[in-house]
Amino acid sequence: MTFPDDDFEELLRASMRAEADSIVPSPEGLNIIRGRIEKRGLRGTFWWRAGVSVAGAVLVAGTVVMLVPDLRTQVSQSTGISVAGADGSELPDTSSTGRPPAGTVPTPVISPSGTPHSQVTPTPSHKPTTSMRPSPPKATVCATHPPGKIPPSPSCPPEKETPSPPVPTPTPTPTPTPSVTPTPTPTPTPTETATLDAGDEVAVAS
Amino acid sequence: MPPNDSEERKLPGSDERPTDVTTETLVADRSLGAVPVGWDADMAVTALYSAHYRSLVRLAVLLVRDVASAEEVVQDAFVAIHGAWRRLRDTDKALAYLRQSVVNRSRSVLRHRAVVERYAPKGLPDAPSAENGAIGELERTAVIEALRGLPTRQREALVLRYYGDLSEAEIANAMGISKGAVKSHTARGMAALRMALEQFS
Repeated sequence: MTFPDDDFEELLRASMRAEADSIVPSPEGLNIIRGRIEKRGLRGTFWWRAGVSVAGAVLVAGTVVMLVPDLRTQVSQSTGISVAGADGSELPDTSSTGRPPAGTVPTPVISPSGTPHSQVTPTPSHKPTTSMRPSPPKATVCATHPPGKIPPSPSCPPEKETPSPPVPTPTPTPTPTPSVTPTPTPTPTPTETATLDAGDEVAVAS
Repeated sequence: MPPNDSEERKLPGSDERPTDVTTETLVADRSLGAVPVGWDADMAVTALYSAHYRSLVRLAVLLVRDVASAEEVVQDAFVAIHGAWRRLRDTDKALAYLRQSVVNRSRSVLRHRAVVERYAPKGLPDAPSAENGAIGELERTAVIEALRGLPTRQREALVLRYYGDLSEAEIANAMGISKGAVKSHTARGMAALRMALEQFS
């Protein structure tokens, strides 16, 4: 069979058309399509529902664990996760970065006689000088005394005295003032004062 | 969705749609690819089915060579367009989407069939039917047999060109190739078909 191009194309077209026209699709096609669409929708809904159920169960379990203290303790012990401070461990020291709460440090009232006293909590008039570097005597609390009045505390040297060497002297000596009953429980805190300079000392004391 | 529910549903605009006429020339009729905006997926699938199902099955038969596989391919394409209806940017191109889906799924069927036939025992060839006695029928059968022997891409290009009456751009879109590749596949397919028919005679 040899065909010119046009005849061959026409033969091809007619043959395909005749072959296609002989095919009659099933009349149930639309129902089959709808059934498949429905199955597909159910399948998608199933996974969606399963996911929501799992998420809900996890949420409820987490809520119960957090609300019941015993369970929470058990979970924290079993998982090794503990709340900060719950197991007796101290909280991290934030004294170097945070401000002291207002009202906790009593404001010392310095009388003209040079005997500081406090109405609320009598504390030693001077903190132990444990600074590692010599601090100028002007910046100390004792420097606020009027000239000529030397405080009785040996830790407050006169102004003309040379700065103390950088030897820590953790021996606080509370000032014996007759009007105040000081509690001899000085709490030397070398970590606080070790890094403070003179200006900070005044701020802490005030 | 009950099966008989949507059949009784009256689609908007379905009165004007001459479905009985268009089903015979669906692939060539570009205007029927448009679906009114606002239709939901069920309505669109029903309208597209009534307008294009038969022609798409026939197109698929020419590609996959048996009616059952062709119907399954087209049904899968309708299910796919139902799922993708919300994501379909241009609903006017629903027919193009369906056609492309049919071509792609036909390729998958042929690929799967090639693997199966490679390992399955080969059966007897199809016996010629009684109506093949006429000269025209003989030619037609020879053409179809030669067409089935072509490579997939060449067969797709020829079927879309001479059965679907599609332009090169539409064929390129349906096959996912360039227009130059469409020309190449068509020319090679025609040459191979001509050679096969010459050997047949």
